[in-house]
Amino acid sequence: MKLSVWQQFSSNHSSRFEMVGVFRTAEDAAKAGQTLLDMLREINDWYVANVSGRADIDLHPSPVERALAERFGIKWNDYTLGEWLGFDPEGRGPVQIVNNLVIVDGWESDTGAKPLDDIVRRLGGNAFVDGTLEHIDLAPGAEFPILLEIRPEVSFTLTCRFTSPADAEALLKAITLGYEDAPRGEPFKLHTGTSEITIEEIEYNPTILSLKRARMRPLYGGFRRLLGFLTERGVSQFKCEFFETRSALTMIDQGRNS
Amino acid sequence: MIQDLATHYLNFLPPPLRTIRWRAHPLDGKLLLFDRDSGLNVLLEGDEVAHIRRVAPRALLIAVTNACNMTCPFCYRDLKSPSGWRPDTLLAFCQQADDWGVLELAFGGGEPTLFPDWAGFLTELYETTGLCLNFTTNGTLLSADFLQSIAGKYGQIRLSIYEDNHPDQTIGLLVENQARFGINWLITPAELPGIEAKFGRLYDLGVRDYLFLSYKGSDPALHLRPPEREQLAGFLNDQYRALGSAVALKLDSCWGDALPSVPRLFQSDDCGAGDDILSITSDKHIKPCSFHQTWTGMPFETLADVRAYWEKRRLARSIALIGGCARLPERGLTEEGVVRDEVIRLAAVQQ
Repeated sequence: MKLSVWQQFSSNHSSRFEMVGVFRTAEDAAKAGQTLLDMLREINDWYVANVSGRADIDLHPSPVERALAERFGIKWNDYTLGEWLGFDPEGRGPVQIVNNLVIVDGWESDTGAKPLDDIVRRLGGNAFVDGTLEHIDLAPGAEFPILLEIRPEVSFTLTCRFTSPADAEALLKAITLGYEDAPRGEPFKLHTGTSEITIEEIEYNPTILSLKRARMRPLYGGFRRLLGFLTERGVSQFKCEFFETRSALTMIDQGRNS
Repeated sequence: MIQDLATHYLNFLPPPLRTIRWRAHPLDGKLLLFDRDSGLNVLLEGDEVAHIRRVAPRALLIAVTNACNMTCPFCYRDLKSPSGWRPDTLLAFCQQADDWGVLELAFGGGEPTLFPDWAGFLTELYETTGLCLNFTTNGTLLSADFLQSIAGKYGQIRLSIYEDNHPDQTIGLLVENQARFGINWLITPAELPGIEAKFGRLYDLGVRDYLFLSYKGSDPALHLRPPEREQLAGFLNDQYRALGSAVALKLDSCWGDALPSVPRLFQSDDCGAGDDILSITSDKHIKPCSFHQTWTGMPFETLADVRAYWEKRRLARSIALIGGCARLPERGLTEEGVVRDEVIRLAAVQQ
């Protein structure tokens, strides 16, 4: 029996992602986040210095990335991260550290989060990816590669502590206003102005609001903005648990991400 | 049952592919498995499937309305055709097509986003069938709300790009909302001088799927001459070398063998019109493809009529009587791009 495999349409025009690395302490996160940022800056600097135009584009990993793969003992992506990395004139890049979380914004990525999740694990964290993790080539060496996109989804339970019961109640109202008119089984929704978060369940006492099994579409860049949004509304502390679900396609993953 | 075929042949697939919920599509002597959510296809060929016979076209191209909010001079449709589909009648028709064994629907028009509650229609059709839903649009009526409401319920949006439908803005909207889309780009001689720059600009905007369309019609100024076809072929080969699998470069089947130096994923001696695909007009006529003139279309009342037509005519390889049809000798054109009327007249007589 002869099998031919191909893709009818591109799985997406880009491979954006947001990755959240969860560390045991804020100190661990700060250290790991800085390591990650320095590494990405090194990759970006090499790419900027060696790729000046479309004719120079080589999507394979750069020498810097090959060295990093060896250093961390991981398998690098088939594509260079330099293709999407960027730092602004003030040197700010796609990494943000918030308490015990290291958040990587892959808004510009065409290649997915791999191997950043493996690096976060090597640095002692637990990595959650929302968006594109990687592409698996089902036909290595073929003239027309078949790339299967692995797209996990992340949900989270966010428990917020407010200093003022009035602030907690105000946010609760923002979520539940009009909810009694919603069709049965509809999740709650919170609009932050830049994102919409769906929330399956809410727990509330006067100063603590827990948003359970929440999803944000898309997560890219949105989680950082959500934390900012909540801070502006009186959240003094938060605790977050992440859960990753995978589509049926990701069952094809051959254990590289465990 | 068609779907039993998928289960029956699952063990022939590599283990990683066995967990996908395939939809089976029998072909003549082959079996196609398709997953509408990923767009993945697996074609099985061999003695084990040699007995299988095709029962339906892969795709129906359905003009859901003849209304459009643009007036493109090169549009192939009959402007006088009425728009006969209503949401309930079109939904029922498409559901019956699903039962028949059709794999995909490609909606067009006119402008399909003008169809009443287009998002609601797509959603209901996706949820009540196993069909892969695609549509071609000028993009002028797309919105973030619309794209979010149909997210995950369609295969691909094809965006037609023209000078006057602000494609950059629409591409930005599609990218921002993570839509799965590609662009349809009509390649005429006027496009060639700036083709590389335009391609790069579209790439920078986020386009990763390009369908290059050939012109079909009687204006010689819009057909590519042999040196221009060579130029296009050279450009395509250069882009593929530079970008590899980062982009999907597609040619519409009407190019036929006009670009022989461009390697293809599929080698075929025919476009498949009337067999692999069937065109359904807004006023309920059947045509082998969209470029057949309306007066050659067969009226129908029910899906059963469509099925009967397809079973009878699918191997006829009907020719669209228009310059640029790949089933015409030299696509019905002289080297200067002039339509050879005698070739078309002969084809009309012989059909």
